[in-house]
Amino acid sequence: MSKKLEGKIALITGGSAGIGLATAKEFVEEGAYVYITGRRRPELDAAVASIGSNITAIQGDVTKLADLDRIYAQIGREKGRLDIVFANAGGGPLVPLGAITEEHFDSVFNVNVKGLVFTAQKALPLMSDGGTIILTGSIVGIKGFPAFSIYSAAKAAVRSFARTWTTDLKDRHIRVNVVSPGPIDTPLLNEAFANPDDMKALASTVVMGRLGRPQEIAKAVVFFASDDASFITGAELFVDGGAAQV
Amino acid sequence: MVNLSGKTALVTGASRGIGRASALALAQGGAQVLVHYGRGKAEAEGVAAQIRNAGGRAEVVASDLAAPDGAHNLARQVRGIVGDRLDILVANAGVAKSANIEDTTVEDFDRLFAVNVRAPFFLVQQTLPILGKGSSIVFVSSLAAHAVVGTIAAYAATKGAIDTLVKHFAAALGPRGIRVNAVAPGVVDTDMSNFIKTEAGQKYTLAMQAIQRLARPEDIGPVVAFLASDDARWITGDTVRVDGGSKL
Repeated sequence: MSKKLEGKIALITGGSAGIGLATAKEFVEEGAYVYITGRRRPELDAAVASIGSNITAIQGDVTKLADLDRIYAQIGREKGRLDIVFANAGGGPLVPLGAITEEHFDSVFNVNVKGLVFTAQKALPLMSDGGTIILTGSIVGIKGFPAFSIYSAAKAAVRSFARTWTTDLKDRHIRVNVVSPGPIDTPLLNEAFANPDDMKALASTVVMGRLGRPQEIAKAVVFFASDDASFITGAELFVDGGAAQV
Repeated sequence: MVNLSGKTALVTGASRGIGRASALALAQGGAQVLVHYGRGKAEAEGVAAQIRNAGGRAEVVASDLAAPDGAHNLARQVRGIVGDRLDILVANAGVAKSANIEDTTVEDFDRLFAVNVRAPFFLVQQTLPILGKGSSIVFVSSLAAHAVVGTIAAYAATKGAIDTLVKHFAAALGPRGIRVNAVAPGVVDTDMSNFIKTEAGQKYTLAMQAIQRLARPEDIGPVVAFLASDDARWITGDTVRVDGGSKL
């Protein structure tokens, strides 16, 4: 069977763990050359070691514009173009209304919104026409879970970007879509729900009766990146085992 | 292209348009495809022949899905061919009719709901005994379910009903390991759409889309095949827009 991303050059932010790492693995298996970014060098090195070939890690923080400039300069030098951007870096602690600090607000919006905006914008000069941008959203963008307010609002902003950027980029034939996971068994979720009973309660909200796996999101990202999705743009795909769909 | 080798699939309304493209995409992935038709016998046989010529497996099945027992009749035939296991059900068969509110007749309304809603509902009911863990049901919804395109209120309402069924069926069948989703195409260049054959329709379509070309059935088939495949095993209850960024 032919590979879905043969010869493509891809960037995955937040690529050293969880959904980003699983997607890097799938992208490489489907024939792409993948750049991953992350803040922590040891985790990046481990990610590269686990995948082996056709992958390069660049240490960098998407909230720092100089880091993004450096990341794109390196990709430009080494490959001269970029076909797929998976703007995936994100996350943040849970704080209920009443306890939200300015620092909390800024940190969550910095990584999930500002970092994502400049990841996309600074990629444009390198991006080939007909390329694709995939954004990591979340079911929280359409749900009202307690203490999720700032993170949920940030993810709602991400969903909005896919609509507007699709129209901004239509003359370049760059498709922009959102993949919105539900609860996935990742380090991020395990930090947020340290109590095993909370994890069980969370899994019970999923139609398919369990938490999702990073690879299950990665498969959906591959689909969006591939020609199979060539007529899908400005869309949001919920990959949540039905959690937010029913 | 996705890997569907060893899987059995039924595609209703597979003689033409999106159904045909879905059948071909599933067969390309390696599935055995039952090509259903209501009236287009020769065309359905052509689709099956095309699949077999490419080294795939296909059978033709006929049933009038406007009839009250059409879905039951089809399910019986399907069980007769695949036995106790159907992996993929693509409930694509549908009819469309463009009419103003004043011009919509009770007969047209009933026919739209019979083919587009009643038949898929009972086809799922009647195939449930042979669907199981890992099976995937894909409905065909429409952009028209959530945005206004043309004067097709009654047709659009049938597709709204499909989106509703997707959610309820997904919730009911998730515990059995069966996934339920829909694709929602925008305006597609098929025999069903008179709209796209007019200059005004083409102009309107391109003006509402981000992607500046008209959709073909071949744009939709691979998305159906993806949702049918294990690559989409964490997707259920969703309606996936395949509309070139229409009415964003």
